[in-house]
Amino acid sequence: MKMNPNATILLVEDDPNDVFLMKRALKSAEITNPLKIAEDGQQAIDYLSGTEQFANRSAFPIPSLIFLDLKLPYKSGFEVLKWIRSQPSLDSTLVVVLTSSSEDRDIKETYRLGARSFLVKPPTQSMLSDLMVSLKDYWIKHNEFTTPNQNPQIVEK
Amino acid sequence: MPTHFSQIENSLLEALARLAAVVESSDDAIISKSLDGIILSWNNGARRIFGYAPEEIIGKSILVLIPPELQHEEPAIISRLKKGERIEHYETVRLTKEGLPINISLTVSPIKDRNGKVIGASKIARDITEDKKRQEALRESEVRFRTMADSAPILIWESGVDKLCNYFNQTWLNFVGRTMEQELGTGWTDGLHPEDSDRYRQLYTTSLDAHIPFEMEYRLRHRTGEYRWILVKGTPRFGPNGTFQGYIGACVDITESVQAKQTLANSRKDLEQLVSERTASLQEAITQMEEFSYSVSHDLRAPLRAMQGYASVLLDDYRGKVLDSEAEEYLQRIVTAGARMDRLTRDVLVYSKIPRSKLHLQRIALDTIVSGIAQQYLQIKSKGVDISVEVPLLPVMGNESFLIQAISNLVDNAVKFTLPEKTPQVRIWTEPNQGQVRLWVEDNGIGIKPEHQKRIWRMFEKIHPQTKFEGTGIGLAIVRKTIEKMNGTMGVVSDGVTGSKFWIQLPGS
Repeated sequence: MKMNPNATILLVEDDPNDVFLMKRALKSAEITNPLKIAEDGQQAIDYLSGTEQFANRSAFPIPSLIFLDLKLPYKSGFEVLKWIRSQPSLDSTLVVVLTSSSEDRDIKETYRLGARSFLVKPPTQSMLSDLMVSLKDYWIKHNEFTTPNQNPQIVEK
Repeated sequence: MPTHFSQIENSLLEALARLAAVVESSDDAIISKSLDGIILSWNNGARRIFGYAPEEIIGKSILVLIPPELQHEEPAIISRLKKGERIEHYETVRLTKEGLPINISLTVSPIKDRNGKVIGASKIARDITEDKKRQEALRESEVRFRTMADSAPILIWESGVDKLCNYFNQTWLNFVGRTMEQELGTGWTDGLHPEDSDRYRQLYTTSLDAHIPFEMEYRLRHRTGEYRWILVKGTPRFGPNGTFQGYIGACVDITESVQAKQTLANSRKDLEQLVSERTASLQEAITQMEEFSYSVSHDLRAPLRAMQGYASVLLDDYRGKVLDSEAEEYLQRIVTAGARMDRLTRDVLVYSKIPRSKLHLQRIALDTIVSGIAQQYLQIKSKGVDISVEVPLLPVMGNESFLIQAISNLVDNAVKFTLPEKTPQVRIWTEPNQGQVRLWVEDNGIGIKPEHQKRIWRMFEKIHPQTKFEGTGIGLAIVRKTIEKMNGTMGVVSDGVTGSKFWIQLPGS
């Protein structure tokens, strides 16, 4: 099935400016799915395991798509990726790395750790909107999704 | 019985004749004389050696042959003969008929009668003048060689088949400060450095057993007590018939050169140490540099994105509402400057990464790369651009991502530096050049004046004002760095009026 328009998107991003601009870009690309924010790597893991302030699963459902920045406080994007990979119940969640630069080592590490896409944050707002439009075309309209299990078995790491 | 006697007589006569023939044909002088020294017989050999015919000398005293100062020899010889003694190989001097002295070797035997009484003497004289001369010459040559050996600045020794040394030249003796007696045999081994002793003995013994030359460096004690480095070359000696006779050794003091070598080795070691230290600190600097550029690419671009993003949000949300045209223009300038800053950062990063990139050179089909760049270009920049590629392009040896960097920068420049009223026309083709492949990128732009053509390849060099043509001043520096890294060359042909022709040249494939 295609992605449910109500399926949650999780944005892991520590820069409030980028959060703001991302929200606008999603809006202008007419991606209306509910958007949740995790401000650092640890929050992202907390969110996905449903602990701390994210204990309420109905308020913070398991996302179908995660936008993950690599440079994050507390736990880096790579650590989050590694953690997600260690959780079999999150296999169906798509991770798109969205970061500032296309360092070769980052790209390699990203794919090694099982992310599905590596996107470089474009320099202008209109380009970011364009990127979101093409993402919508590819990932949201055409890609087949399975509905994420909302009661995932979290493996202690 | 008479028959019997005559038979005996005949055989006696035959024996005599045979003896006479032997005597006559001998090279030696065979002379018989009575006890009072009167010559009784004189053979051909005597005639040849002394010059007298038998009729001239027979009946004369033997004393005519003896030089005045040696006349005393005769009575001595006679008295020994009378006692029945033989005189053998007695070397002396006699006179020829011309009165010239000759060296002879005498063998004198007593002649006895039936009762054993000595009645005369037979004397065999051999002319040894030639032998004497040869001996003299030999002695002279030996003296000459000894002198040579003693005065040569090298240390020389000689050993026999028993491996014992039987000669050292004066230079050796001076060097070790010892006497010949001390050195002879195995005495010289006292001077061997304890650490080299076993090594030397082993090589010496095995070489001498095999009769092969040997060469080694070892330390020998100098008369000052200091050990000095010696290079010895031992050569086997063989007699005229090929029999092994021993060795001759020649030694040179190489202490200075050994010390120089050691100094060199030490300084090489120091240098290696220094290089590895420098390499380590360089590596550290590179790592820091990498961290720096990583942080540049991440952290410095985030605020840029924010500046730009908020400016365009303002433009989008408030255009025509609270913003007047001036405010709009300022915001537009913020967006443009932000974009430029972002491109600048990216270009600097690309440029700084080139020297550190690991390079894998392989056969690259330029056709694919160039058509990819052209297509991408036409997609992104929608303004009328005419890019024509003259296929097929020749393949080169290079690195794909480097080639993409270089060629797209060239195409970018070709399009960028065109007057606004002109449609940019870019023509790309390859041609073989001196065993390599040259790729040309020709444009119809503003060209580059010859006096500027050297500058354009340097970082941040711009020859046009920013207001007229946008650019970071890094593009051609990236081209140069990538092409040089692929062992290629590049250049430009332009009169500064009618466009430019840039070329890059790489080994063909």
